[in-house]
Amino acid sequence: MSKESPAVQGALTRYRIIAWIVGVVLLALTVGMVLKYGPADDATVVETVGQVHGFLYMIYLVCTFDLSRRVPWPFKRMLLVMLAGTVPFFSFWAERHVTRHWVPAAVPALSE
Amino acid sequence: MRGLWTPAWMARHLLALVLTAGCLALGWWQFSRAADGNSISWGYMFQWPVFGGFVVFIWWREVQLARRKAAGEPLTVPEPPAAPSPAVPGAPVVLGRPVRVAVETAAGAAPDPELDAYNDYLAWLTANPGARPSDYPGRITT
Repeated sequence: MSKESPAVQGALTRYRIIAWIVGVVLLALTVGMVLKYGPADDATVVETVGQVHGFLYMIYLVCTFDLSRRVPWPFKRMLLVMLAGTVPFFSFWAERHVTRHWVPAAVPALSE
Repeated sequence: MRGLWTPAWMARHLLALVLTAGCLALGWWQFSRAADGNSISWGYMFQWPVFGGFVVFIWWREVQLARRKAAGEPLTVPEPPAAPSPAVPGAPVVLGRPVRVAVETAAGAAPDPELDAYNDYLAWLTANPGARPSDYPGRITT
Protein backbone atom coordinates (compact mmCIF):
# COMPACT_ATOMS: atom_id res chain seq x y z
CA MET A 1 0.00 0.00 0.00
CA SER A 2 1.21 3.47 -0.76
CA LYS A 3 1.45 6.27 1.76
CA GLU A 4 -1.89 7.81 0.85
CA SER A 5 -3.72 4.57 1.49
CA PRO A 6 -7.29 4.85 2.80
CA ALA A 7 -6.22 3.04 5.99
CA VAL A 8 -4.09 6.04 7.00
CA GLN A 9 -6.92 8.45 6.22
CA GLY A 10 -9.33 6.43 8.31
CA ALA A 11 -6.92 6.37 11.22
CA LEU A 12 -6.42 10.12 10.85
CA THR A 13 -10.17 10.73 10.96
CA ARG A 14 -10.53 8.62 14.10
CA TYR A 15 -7.61 10.45 15.70
CA ARG A 16 -9.01 13.89 14.84
CA ILE A 17 -12.46 13.10 16.23
CA ILE A 18 -11.19 11.75 19.55
CA ALA A 19 -8.56 14.50 19.80
CA TRP A 20 -11.28 17.12 19.49
CA ILE A 21 -13.51 15.41 22.04
CA VAL A 22 -10.66 14.94 24.52
CA GLY A 23 -9.64 18.58 24.00
CA VAL A 24 -13.13 19.83 24.83
CA VAL A 25 -13.52 17.55 27.86
CA LEU A 26 -10.06 18.60 29.04
CA LEU A 27 -11.14 22.23 28.93
CA ALA A 28 -14.21 21.34 30.98
CA LEU A 29 -11.95 19.53 33.44
CA THR A 30 -9.69 22.60 33.65
CA VAL A 31 -12.70 24.77 34.47
CA GLY A 32 -13.67 22.19 37.07
CA MET A 33 -10.19 22.33 38.60
CA VAL A 34 -10.41 26.11 38.87
CA LEU A 35 -13.80 25.78 40.55
CA LYS A 36 -12.60 23.08 42.94
CA TYR A 37 -9.28 24.53 44.04
CA GLY A 38 -10.21 28.17 43.55
CA PRO A 39 -12.24 30.33 45.90
CA ALA A 40 -15.49 28.71 44.71
CA ASP A 41 -14.45 25.38 46.30
CA ASP A 42 -16.97 23.44 44.22
CA ALA A 43 -15.94 19.92 43.18
CA THR A 44 -19.08 18.97 41.21
CA VAL A 45 -17.58 19.50 37.74
CA VAL A 46 -14.39 17.60 38.54
CA GLU A 47 -16.36 14.67 39.94
CA THR A 48 -18.52 14.52 36.83
CA VAL A 49 -15.90 15.07 34.13
CA GLY A 50 -12.85 13.47 35.74
CA GLN A 51 -13.75 9.83 35.18
CA VAL A 52 -15.08 10.48 31.68
CA HIS A 53 -11.88 12.23 30.69
CA GLY A 54 -9.84 9.26 31.90
CA PHE A 55 -11.68 6.82 29.66
CA LEU A 56 -11.71 9.17 26.68
CA TYR A 57 -7.98 9.72 27.02
CA MET A 58 -7.50 5.94 26.84
CA ILE A 59 -9.29 5.94 23.48
CA TYR A 60 -7.15 8.89 22.42
CA LEU A 61 -3.99 6.96 23.24
CA VAL A 62 -5.10 3.93 21.25
CA CYS A 63 -6.10 6.02 18.21
CA THR A 64 -2.84 7.97 18.33
CA PHE A 65 -0.85 4.75 18.52
CA ASP A 66 -2.80 3.31 15.61
CA LEU A 67 -2.23 6.40 13.46
CA SER A 68 1.44 6.64 14.35
CA ARG A 69 2.09 3.06 13.27
CA ARG A 70 0.18 3.40 10.02
CA VAL A 71 1.91 6.55 8.76
CA PRO A 72 4.51 5.59 10.34
CA TRP A 73 5.99 8.12 12.77
CA PRO A 74 9.22 7.98 14.74
CA PHE A 75 8.75 6.75 18.31
CA LYS A 76 9.44 10.14 19.90
CA ARG A 77 6.86 11.88 17.74
CA MET A 78 4.25 9.36 18.85
CA LEU A 79 5.01 10.08 22.51
CA LEU A 80 4.92 13.82 21.80
CA VAL A 81 1.47 13.64 20.21
CA MET A 82 0.21 11.45 23.06
CA LEU A 83 1.42 13.99 25.62
CA ALA A 84 0.02 16.89 23.59
CA GLY A 85 -3.46 15.54 24.34
CA THR A 86 -3.01 16.39 28.03
CA VAL A 87 -2.31 20.11 27.64
CA PRO A 88 -5.41 22.35 27.62
CA PHE A 89 -5.78 24.49 24.46
CA PHE A 90 -2.48 23.19 23.08
CA SER A 91 -4.18 19.91 22.16
CA PHE A 92 -6.23 21.66 19.45
CA TRP A 93 -3.13 23.20 17.92
CA ALA A 94 -1.38 19.82 18.04
CA GLU A 95 -4.28 18.16 16.22
CA ARG A 96 -4.05 20.74 13.42
CA HIS A 97 -0.30 20.36 13.21
CA VAL A 98 -0.57 16.58 12.98
CA THR A 99 -3.20 16.78 10.25
CA ARG A 100 -1.33 19.33 8.15
CA HIS A 101 2.29 18.32 8.52
CA TRP A 102 2.68 14.82 9.88
CA VAL A 103 0.23 12.82 7.79
CA PRO A 104 0.53 12.68 4.00
CA ALA A 105 -2.38 14.41 2.31
CA ALA A 106 -5.13 12.32 0.82
CA VAL A 107 -5.37 11.93 -2.92
CA PRO A 108 -8.76 13.11 -4.23
CA ALA A 109 -11.00 10.19 -5.11
CA LEU A 110 -11.68 11.57 -8.58
CA SER A 111 -8.82 13.53 -10.07
CA GLU A 112 -8.73 14.98 -13.56
CA MET B 1 20.17 -9.94 20.70
CA ARG B 2 22.33 -6.87 20.53
CA GLY B 3 19.73 -4.63 18.81
CA LEU B 4 17.55 -4.34 21.92
CA TRP B 5 20.41 -3.39 24.25
CA THR B 6 21.72 -0.28 22.54
CA PRO B 7 21.73 2.94 24.61
CA ALA B 8 18.56 4.14 22.86
CA TRP B 9 16.78 0.90 23.67
CA MET B 10 18.05 0.93 27.26
CA ALA B 11 16.45 4.36 27.63
CA ARG B 12 13.19 3.02 26.21
CA HIS B 13 13.17 0.02 28.53
CA LEU B 14 13.82 2.32 31.47
CA LEU B 15 11.09 4.73 30.35
CA ALA B 16 8.60 1.89 30.03
CA LEU B 17 9.55 0.59 33.47
CA VAL B 18 9.29 4.01 35.14
CA LEU B 19 5.96 4.82 33.48
CA THR B 20 4.46 1.45 34.37
CA ALA B 21 5.63 1.69 37.97
CA GLY B 22 4.37 5.27 38.13
CA CYS B 23 0.91 4.29 36.86
CA LEU B 24 0.69 1.43 39.36
CA ALA B 25 1.84 3.71 42.18
CA LEU B 26 -0.77 6.31 41.25
CA GLY B 27 -3.41 3.57 41.17
CA TRP B 28 -2.32 2.49 44.66
CA TRP B 29 -2.42 6.09 45.84
CA GLN B 30 -5.97 6.46 44.52
CA PHE B 31 -6.88 3.23 46.30
CA SER B 32 -5.65 4.63 49.59
CA ARG B 33 -7.59 7.84 48.95
CA ALA B 34 -10.71 5.81 48.14
CA ALA B 35 -10.26 3.81 51.32
CA ASP B 36 -10.13 7.11 53.22
CA GLY B 37 -13.59 7.96 51.93
CA ASN B 38 -12.92 9.87 48.68
CA SER B 39 -15.52 8.07 46.58
CA ILE B 40 -14.50 9.31 43.12
CA SER B 41 -11.06 7.81 43.66
CA TRP B 42 -12.55 4.35 43.12
CA GLY B 43 -12.82 5.10 39.40
CA TYR B 44 -9.31 6.51 39.15
CA MET B 45 -8.02 3.46 40.99
CA PHE B 46 -9.16 1.29 38.08
CA GLN B 47 -8.02 3.70 35.36
CA TRP B 48 -4.38 4.02 36.35
CA PRO B 49 -3.53 0.31 35.98
CA VAL B 50 -5.10 0.42 32.50
CA PHE B 51 -2.71 3.22 31.54
CA GLY B 52 0.13 1.14 32.96
CA GLY B 53 -0.98 -1.81 30.89
CA PHE B 54 -1.02 0.39 27.80
CA VAL B 55 2.62 1.32 28.43
CA VAL B 56 3.49 -2.38 28.57
CA PHE B 57 1.52 -2.97 25.38
CA ILE B 58 3.40 -0.24 23.47
CA TRP B 59 6.74 -1.45 24.82
CA TRP B 60 5.94 -4.99 23.68
CA ARG B 61 4.85 -3.83 20.22
CA GLU B 62 8.01 -1.78 19.73
CA VAL B 63 10.20 -4.71 20.77
CA GLN B 64 8.39 -7.01 18.32
CA LEU B 65 8.71 -4.41 15.58
CA ALA B 66 12.44 -4.05 16.17
CA ARG B 67 12.90 -7.82 16.15
CA ARG B 68 11.06 -8.21 12.88
CA LYS B 69 13.03 -5.36 11.36
CA ALA B 70 16.28 -6.96 12.49
CA ALA B 71 15.22 -10.30 11.04
CA GLY B 72 14.42 -8.63 7.73
CA GLU B 73 10.79 -9.67 7.77
CA PRO B 74 8.14 -7.43 6.25
CA LEU B 75 6.78 -5.04 8.86
CA THR B 76 3.23 -5.14 7.59
CA VAL B 77 1.22 -7.91 6.08
CA PRO B 78 0.55 -6.99 2.44
CA GLU B 79 -3.15 -6.55 1.89
CA PRO B 80 -4.78 -8.89 -0.61
CA PRO B 81 -5.89 -7.15 -3.80
CA ALA B 82 -9.42 -5.87 -3.57
CA ALA B 83 -11.98 -8.13 -5.20
CA PRO B 84 -13.72 -6.65 -8.25
CA SER B 85 -16.89 -5.19 -6.80
CA PRO B 86 -19.38 -5.88 -9.63
CA ALA B 87 -18.61 -9.61 -9.48
CA VAL B 88 -21.09 -10.24 -6.69
CA PRO B 89 -24.68 -9.14 -7.34
CA GLY B 90 -26.10 -7.20 -4.45
CA ALA B 91 -22.65 -6.18 -3.22
CA PRO B 92 -22.41 -2.56 -1.97
CA VAL B 93 -21.40 -0.14 -4.69
CA VAL B 94 -17.95 1.25 -3.97
CA LEU B 95 -16.71 4.38 -5.68
CA GLY B 96 -13.00 4.63 -6.15
CA ARG B 97 -10.50 6.31 -8.36
CA PRO B 98 -10.99 5.69 -12.06
CA VAL B 99 -8.56 3.05 -13.21
CA ARG B 100 -7.13 2.73 -16.70
CA VAL B 101 -7.69 -0.82 -17.93
CA ALA B 102 -6.62 -2.49 -21.16
CA VAL B 103 -9.41 -2.50 -23.71
CA GLU B 104 -10.23 -5.95 -24.96
CA THR B 105 -9.66 -6.17 -28.68
CA ALA B 106 -12.25 -7.64 -31.04
CA ALA B 107 -9.91 -10.50 -31.88
CA GLY B 108 -9.90 -11.65 -28.30
CA ALA B 109 -13.68 -11.63 -28.00
CA ALA B 110 -15.75 -14.78 -28.17
CA PRO B 111 -17.13 -15.64 -31.65
CA ASP B 112 -20.45 -13.93 -32.25
CA PRO B 113 -22.28 -15.07 -35.47
CA GLU B 114 -24.79 -12.20 -35.28
CA LEU B 115 -22.05 -9.61 -35.04
CA ASP B 116 -20.12 -11.24 -37.88
CA ALA B 117 -23.21 -11.19 -40.10
CA TYR B 118 -23.86 -7.54 -39.32
CA ASN B 119 -20.24 -6.61 -40.01
CA ASP B 120 -20.46 -8.47 -43.32
CA TYR B 121 -23.61 -6.52 -44.18
CA LEU B 122 -21.88 -3.23 -43.37
CA ALA B 123 -18.88 -4.24 -45.46
CA TRP B 124 -21.16 -5.03 -48.39
CA LEU B 125 -22.85 -1.63 -48.08
CA THR B 126 -19.44 0.06 -48.09
CA ALA B 127 -18.33 -1.91 -51.11
CA ASN B 128 -21.52 -1.01 -53.00
CA PRO B 129 -22.14 2.68 -52.35
CA GLY B 130 -25.13 2.99 -54.67
CA ALA B 131 -26.95 -0.12 -53.46
CA ARG B 132 -30.06 -0.14 -51.32
CA PRO B 133 -30.23 -2.26 -48.18
CA SER B 134 -32.83 -4.48 -49.75
CA ASP B 135 -30.33 -5.44 -52.48
CA TYR B 136 -28.10 -7.17 -49.91
CA PRO B 137 -27.73 -10.75 -51.15
CA GLY B 138 -27.02 -12.20 -47.77
CA ARG B 139 -23.80 -13.36 -46.29
CA ILE B 140 -21.60 -15.32 -48.64
CA THR B 141 -20.20 -18.16 -46.59
CA THR B 142 -16.94 -19.56 -47.82
